Amino acid sequence: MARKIVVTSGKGGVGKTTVAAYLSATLARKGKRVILCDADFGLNNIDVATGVESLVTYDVVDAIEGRCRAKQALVRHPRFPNLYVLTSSHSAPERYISPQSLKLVLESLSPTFDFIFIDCPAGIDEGFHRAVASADEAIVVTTAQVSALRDADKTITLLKSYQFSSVSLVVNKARGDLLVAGESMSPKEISELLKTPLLGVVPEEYSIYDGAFETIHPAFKPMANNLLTGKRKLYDVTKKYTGVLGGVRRFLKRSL
Amino acid sequence: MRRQTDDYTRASNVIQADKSVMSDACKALVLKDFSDKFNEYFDLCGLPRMEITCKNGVYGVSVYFEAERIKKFNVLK
Repeated sequence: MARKIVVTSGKGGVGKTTVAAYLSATLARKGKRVILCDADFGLNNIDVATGVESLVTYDVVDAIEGRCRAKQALVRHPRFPNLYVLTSSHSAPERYISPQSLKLVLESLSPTFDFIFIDCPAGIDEGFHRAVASADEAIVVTTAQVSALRDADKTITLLKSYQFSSVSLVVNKARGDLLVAGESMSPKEISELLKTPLLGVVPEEYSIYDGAFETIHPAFKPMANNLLTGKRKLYDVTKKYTGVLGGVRRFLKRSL
Repeated sequence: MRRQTDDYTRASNVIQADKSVMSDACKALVLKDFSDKFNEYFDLCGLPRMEITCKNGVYGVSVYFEAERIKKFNVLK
């Protein structure tokens, strides 16, 4: 049976979709069969984030409303054959989609997959609860900004009522140059503040956010390993900003 | 280093403030008011204590105090 993991954050724009997409692709590349499900009905973007928007025939709402079988709504990614994308519908927000119906669709797909990642909408209202109700584990994505941390804390508090087997943290958009200069909270401090173990750290680099979804940044490899093995090895975002060359890079990053 | 510490402290304060139902300063004010009222009927040993819980949108408020003496008073019919 698949591990069903919701990727959430509370605050919008911290990188839930990006983290969910790249983590799914990394696990798919390791040979795991993965579904990446978009649970944002209305402002969905998993199809665009993974580059499969032109390959979508049916979406999860079609499967829920019986216009197709659940497997027919899966889009196999052309570059990562073990990754299947279950897109959402732009036109769904005016229709009520119950948490149970989404859960049933994912449960029907679960036996033949290893992981199901559920991309949660921003906020903590109906959409959040619909996404979370289908999952057994949670990944909370945050950045080092105080507003993101505040929302992440509220989200983590809400997740406690779901009694997940695991809730872990991903610190996204980590600025290695600011960390070296002591001008940003470290991922370890963030983990202590939110009282949640760290799953991974992702740097703020253009290659991750350019939307091409072609190469996977090295930061996602230890994250995927941690998910598989339960270890806590983290990508070092400060590595390229230490030493003489690192000092030059930091100077250039500030100047440009 | 200072910015890192400031951000950590600020984030910590914001999170704690969000979690608390009533701030410490407000609690102190409420307890002072309670103390003044209770002192009309009891000789209090120290300030009262208050606990506020929230369940399903309903707040449960419990106030505890200890008194050395209950003042004599009567009710005129």
